[in-house]
Amino acid sequence: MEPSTNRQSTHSLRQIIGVTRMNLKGIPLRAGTSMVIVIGMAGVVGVMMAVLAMANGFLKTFSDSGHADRIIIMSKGSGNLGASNLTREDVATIVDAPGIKHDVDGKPIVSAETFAAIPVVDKKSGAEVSMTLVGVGPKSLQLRSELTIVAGRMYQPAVHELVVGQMAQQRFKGLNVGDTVQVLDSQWRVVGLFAGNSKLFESSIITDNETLLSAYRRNSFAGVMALLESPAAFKTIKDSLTSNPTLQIEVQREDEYFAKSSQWMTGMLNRIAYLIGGIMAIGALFAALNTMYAAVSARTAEIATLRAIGFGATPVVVSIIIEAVLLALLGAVLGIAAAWLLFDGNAIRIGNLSLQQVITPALALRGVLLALVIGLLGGILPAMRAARLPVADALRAV
Amino acid sequence: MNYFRLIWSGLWRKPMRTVFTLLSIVVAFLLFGMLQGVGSAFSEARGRQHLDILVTNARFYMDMPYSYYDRVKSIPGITGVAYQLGGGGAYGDGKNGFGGPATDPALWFAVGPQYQMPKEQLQALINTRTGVAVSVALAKKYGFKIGDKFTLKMRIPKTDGSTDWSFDVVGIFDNVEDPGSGEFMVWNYSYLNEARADNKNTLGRLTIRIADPDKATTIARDIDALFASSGVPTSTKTEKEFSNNQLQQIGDVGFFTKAIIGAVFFTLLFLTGNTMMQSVHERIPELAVLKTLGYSDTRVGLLVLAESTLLCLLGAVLGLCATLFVFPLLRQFTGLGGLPIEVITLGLGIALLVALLTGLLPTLRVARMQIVTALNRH
Repeated sequence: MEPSTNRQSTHSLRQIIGVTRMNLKGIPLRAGTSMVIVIGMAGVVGVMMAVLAMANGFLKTFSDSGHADRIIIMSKGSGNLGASNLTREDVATIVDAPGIKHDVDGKPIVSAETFAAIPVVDKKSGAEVSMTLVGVGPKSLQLRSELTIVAGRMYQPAVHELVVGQMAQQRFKGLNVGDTVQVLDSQWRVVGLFAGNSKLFESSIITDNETLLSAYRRNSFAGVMALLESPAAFKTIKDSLTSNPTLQIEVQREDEYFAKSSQWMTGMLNRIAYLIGGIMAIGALFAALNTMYAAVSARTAEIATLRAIGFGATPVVVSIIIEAVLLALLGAVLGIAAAWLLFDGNAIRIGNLSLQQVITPALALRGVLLALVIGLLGGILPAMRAARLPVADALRAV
Repeated sequence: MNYFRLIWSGLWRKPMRTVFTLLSIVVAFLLFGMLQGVGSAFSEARGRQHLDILVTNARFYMDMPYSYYDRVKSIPGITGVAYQLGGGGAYGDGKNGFGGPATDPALWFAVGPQYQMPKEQLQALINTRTGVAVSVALAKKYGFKIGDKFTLKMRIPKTDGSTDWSFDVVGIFDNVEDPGSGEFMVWNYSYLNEARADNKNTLGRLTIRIADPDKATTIARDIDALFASSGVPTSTKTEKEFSNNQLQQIGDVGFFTKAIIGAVFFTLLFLTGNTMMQSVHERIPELAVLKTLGYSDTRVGLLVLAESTLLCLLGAVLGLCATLFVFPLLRQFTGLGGLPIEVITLGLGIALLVALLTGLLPTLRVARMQIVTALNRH
């Protein structure tokens, strides 16, 4: 009996649905092998989510802290604040530029800053890392209005006093209000803590800029941070400052500067996620192929019967692919859920930086797409084999 | 009875299934090898302990005055001191860069005998002001040979105002404790100090060899006490403490890596176990026949266990071999030359464990099954 090959398309669709339903109903019978795809995909997607969440968390640490209406002014060609150097004359010229927001007292909301580092000890691991100590201007808390003093008080100028970011105080020893910290050859006192939804700033210590300059015997600043009247004022101030022949500086928005700073690490972490995920995906693909070939093999008689009674090759192929894809998707969902439960919000410390793993819907989507691809690839070859089964031989093999 | 042939043919009963399972195992062990290899770079100091070496840096991440070297030299119990200041910059189109310690080469190689180079090359480095010795890894990366010249664009301006520093390759050295590791160069402090425009006579680090390792802590304290109330206090640690601390800073990453390895193997266990169960299930009648012929329960059970062991070991060996090839390519991230041996031994151990775990259930089943019931199934 010839299998009909010239059915109408609606009949084809009905055939596809019919065979697929039959397939899916049979999955519990093949629970063991089917679980192989599910668990395999769960593992791949779970691991990928966890590593991507790390990259995401690292990015967020920086992007959450940068604002579009704040700018960073550094010396030209320095690339980062560590290499930048501005003289007092430079700073005096910069703070008078148009576009900077002024406070109620008529003064520009800016902070001329200088950087130092002190060794601190991690409470959990005992590791010694370097903590950033920033000498900030008197209006630094107006500049970074998201930050407030949450314990103790602000430092007084010309005295050796420090205000510690809350994340730093929580993570490292000896940074509580009232503790003393050695900076160079003298003891400085912690008089307050600040916080404000910024992992980046909260992982540092601030003090008065002039006090820090004199302690380190410096007479120039690393950079000037300023608050703009509005994000749109960026062009105004940039044009004004760069066209000034007495200044050799570069101006950047704070959020763009932070984005660039985190680029290398974020890119690296993303690459690692895809490398590990890719290798695991290959392993999962083998697992999927295993399962689907076994599924086809176990149902040789079934498939042959279907073909013998007139079902076309296409419905058989499509139904097998759908089965593979659905199992893979189930695995992906499990993997995403597991990763979310175990890793979302988990803190990872790298050096003096803390990041929090964050799993977002966008990330989950990538896991789902991977599952789709693997399900497809894992289903196609076995499906083709099923379609090409010589009907008579297959029936005999029962 | 050729057991091996029996086991081998049992494995290849369904070739495609075995191949896919084998490949999954290979992938799992490749991943294990890479992650564990990288992880071991994060969790242990490499090479010998060097208990007789101290490292002095400025406590507040600055440069130290050159005079510190002279003062440390004369402390009792110290047999050798090398000073250095790190310097490096962009090479070529600016996308690449490298650097290394500017030092007194004779002192540096004396205090760090794990770095070795032919005597004549060391002498050439001492005699050539702009001379530089590059590590084997660095030479390999950029194709440097003795006699080559190159320029680095550094952030340190010279007295003539330019930032281009030129070098002559006069030597190639390697770390015999971790061959092929570390991409850096060693050059002359005299060149750096004389040619630089400002910040002269500053040092980044002192590396100190002491006569008696037991005195390490006291000598370290003495050194720091010397400079405690100066403008640049120091922090002196044993070399072991120093490198352990650097590794501890990324401890969370190490833990995370282990978690991933765990996830990979859990997934793998499931896959392999499932395959073994299936494979055994299909052959129950044959195994029953073997029992009928007189083979003991134990022997038949062991046959099954041997099969799973062979599969796992084969996959593990292939996967670890693949790692051996791939790992040196990751040198950029790990700073290691080759895959540490303990990764391979650990991998094989884990392979045996996986074999045991996945083979256990089928083995017990086969060992305990009644011949009559089994044959009846057919």
